[in-house]
Amino acid sequence: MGVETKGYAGKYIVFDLGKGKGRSEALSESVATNFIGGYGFGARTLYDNVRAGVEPYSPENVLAWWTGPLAGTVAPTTSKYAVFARSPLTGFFGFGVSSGGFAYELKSAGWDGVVFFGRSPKPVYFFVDDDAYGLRDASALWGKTTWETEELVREELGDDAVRVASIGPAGEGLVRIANITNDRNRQVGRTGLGSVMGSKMLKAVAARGTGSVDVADPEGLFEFSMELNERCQGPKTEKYRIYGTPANVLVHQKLCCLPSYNFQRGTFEYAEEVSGERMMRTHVKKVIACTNCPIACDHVNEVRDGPYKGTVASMDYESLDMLGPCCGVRDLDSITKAVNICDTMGVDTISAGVTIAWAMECYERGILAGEDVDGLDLRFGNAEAMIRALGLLCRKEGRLGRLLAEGVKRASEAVGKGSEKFAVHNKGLEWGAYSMRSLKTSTLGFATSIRGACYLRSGSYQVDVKGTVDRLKLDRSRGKIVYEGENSYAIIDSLILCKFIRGVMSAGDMAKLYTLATGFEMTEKQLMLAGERIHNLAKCFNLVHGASRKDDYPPPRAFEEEMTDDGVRGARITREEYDEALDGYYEARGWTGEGIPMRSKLAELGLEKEGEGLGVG
Amino acid sequence: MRALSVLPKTGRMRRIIVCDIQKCNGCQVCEAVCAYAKEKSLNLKMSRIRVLRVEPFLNIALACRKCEKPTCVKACPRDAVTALDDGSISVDKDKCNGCAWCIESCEFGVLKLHLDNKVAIVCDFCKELGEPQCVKYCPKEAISYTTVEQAARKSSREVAEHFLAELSTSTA
Amino acid sequence: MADSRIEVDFIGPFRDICGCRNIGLDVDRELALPALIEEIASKFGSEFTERLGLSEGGYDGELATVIVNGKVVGGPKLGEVVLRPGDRVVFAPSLTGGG
Repeated sequence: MGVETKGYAGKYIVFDLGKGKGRSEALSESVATNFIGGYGFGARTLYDNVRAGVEPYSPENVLAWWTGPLAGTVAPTTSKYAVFARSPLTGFFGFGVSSGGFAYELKSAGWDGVVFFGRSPKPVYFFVDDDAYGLRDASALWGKTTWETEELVREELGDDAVRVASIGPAGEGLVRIANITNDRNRQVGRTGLGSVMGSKMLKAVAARGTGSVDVADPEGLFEFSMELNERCQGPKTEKYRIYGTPANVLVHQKLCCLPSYNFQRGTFEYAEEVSGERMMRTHVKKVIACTNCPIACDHVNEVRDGPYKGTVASMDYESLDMLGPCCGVRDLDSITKAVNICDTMGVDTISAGVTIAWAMECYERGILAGEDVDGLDLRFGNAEAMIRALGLLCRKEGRLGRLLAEGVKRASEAVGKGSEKFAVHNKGLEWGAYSMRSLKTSTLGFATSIRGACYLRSGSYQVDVKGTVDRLKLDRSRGKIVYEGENSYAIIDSLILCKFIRGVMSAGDMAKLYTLATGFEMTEKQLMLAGERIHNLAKCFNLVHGASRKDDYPPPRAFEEEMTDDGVRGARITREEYDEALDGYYEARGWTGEGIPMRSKLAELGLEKEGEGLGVG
Repeated sequence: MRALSVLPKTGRMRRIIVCDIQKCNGCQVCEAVCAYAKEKSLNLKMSRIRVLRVEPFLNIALACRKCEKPTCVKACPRDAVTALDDGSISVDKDKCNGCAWCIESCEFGVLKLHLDNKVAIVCDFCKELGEPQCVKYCPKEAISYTTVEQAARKSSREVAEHFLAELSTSTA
Repeated sequence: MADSRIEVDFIGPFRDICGCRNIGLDVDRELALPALIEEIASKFGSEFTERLGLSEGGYDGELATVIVNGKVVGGPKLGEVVLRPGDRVVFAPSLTGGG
């Protein structure tokens, strides 16, 4: 695209970490309008640059940072960026989205994204300063937490307004579930991308931008944005603004879908003690916002007394459940401390919680004991042991730390003795805070997700918890629900908007925003088609890297054990009903029974080239 | 007789941008609307109001305080900076040389240098637009354009209402 | 006796509106769910029905979750539910989440 670029910066940086040099690349209009931004661009980058067999920690793995056409504009919740690489945790499409102020800054600097190739021989951080960019020595930063790193980079650059995204010691040490933190409370959480950064000796990416994004219709965009801001003060966003996502604890509890004791149960006898309602009274100190967000959902805890007094951590539902009920822990002080450790050391709270919970179950079953767990009394509910185990994990210390740092899939494979049966993950990504057996449409969405166990690609739990479908039974028709959710969410992750705004925006609104910003005509239909295209491209990437139907199943616990909670007693997923639902999903997708996109579908989406060599039907 | 004026003059009745730190969450929407309204820019750094986040909990938006003895006016070597009748500050773009001495002198740091033309800019309370845009668009209504006296009275009223309203009756 | 009561639990904002976690209603016969809601609203105020997003067509599933004996009542299906002594009803906010 030329100087007329609107919305998009129209260019991105391609940087070779080994050579320490980079160049500016133009964003093509066809890529922009077909793949939108964010997730779409990431899918394009990974598919085009990461061949089969590339080891995630090798210099050949690509690390791509992408914003969308709306970043840096006044449109609400658009300060979002996404990071992509072949995941060291799953071996498949690795990707996460984060917010805060970083994306706004990068886009204001005049870049749609940065694509890193290769590996630096020594610790470095990357600084984008308007049209200048390059590496700076990070040897003084190596070993520092993410929060310390942000302060030190700002000090070194003499600018406290610089935005910094960094890894902690966990990413440096190639802890497989390491994440990336920016603006303290915001993370690119899942799929171990922090350790990909660590493998490239890239400690941080910092940005300062003094430019202004050009948009096609500034007046129109401003007015529509202000209208959206107004909508965001209404009832549809109240749940995020007041109690925040921790309000889910008691709702899940009542529905018997609150994962507890490593997903053995769907209720927790101490749910009230770790509820969002309790947290609001005893722990939440302030609710803060990301840049240009009118909703403000970030509930930040401060521990008032006890051994962790003064600990500050941003608390969300899934972190709370995974480091709380999933580990049998009933103490909000300890959970807050655990989240603080994760955020500062740079580890994904969900993966950490589930992996530790698995270890707790191993311990209670006698599969791990004594020296295996470095002498910890790793029973469910032992908060102190959980926190010590977390510390070991983050530093890969001790036998336990080295085991847990690999994530639950590899840890269970290393230990064996039947522990794989209760390693709760899909594709190697640990399951989130949505019970597998009492929310079955949710499970279909989790297990078919491109990046592994996650609902952020489809939001399919919604039909379960709204009573639109029978959550305790699966049937063929659920596939279409997941399919539609995925296409819609692919667009949200490409524009990139925050999912919390989806309640006040229709697909038509999103298409309108796109046109106001870029000037490109975009209808709702075209947008949804783009979503489908993006999803299929990401799927093609997974297929190239060896994914098949067998990777789209929930773990054994979902099938082989019955729930015992009152209200869902006996609940489990049968292979028959799951296969039926999975068939329905593939059918809705236009894929074969093996989960491979059919030639006709790829042609419809303009992805024929990608289909070649996939053995499509 | 002094003419009636709706806009309060200097002194304790001057109106300034007041940001309630209990409500401010650091969202920077005020910066976004200010930069757009005043400069047609989408860069938050072009805003006259400044949002600060002091980790972990303090967020505040700051703008010109209409100081009684404005240091920015005193500091300017070219007399480009003047105080108007209502206490707000005006910068003469033609006289301003971008030396930034006024910016340095301000104890609140609420003057800035325009990113492109390098003249000093400061909040002028959106006079030409009728009302400060930050006040209009703050999603949490944390910002008001009010006299300090009104801001103080609001706090007094709130605390009195909260604690004493029930007690202030003649009957039991 | 528990069997002659309908137990009602409040979660999240409904706790704030009703000022309590739970109430029990003594009933000796069936009670339509909309009627229960009316009774709660008369006790605690119309904010209750507003927070449910109550309308002719049921309640707004985007705002709230109504659960009867562990089963979610779909938004439009509110009018179809008949409660009996011994039943348990929960009024909760809708499930939030990143997605």
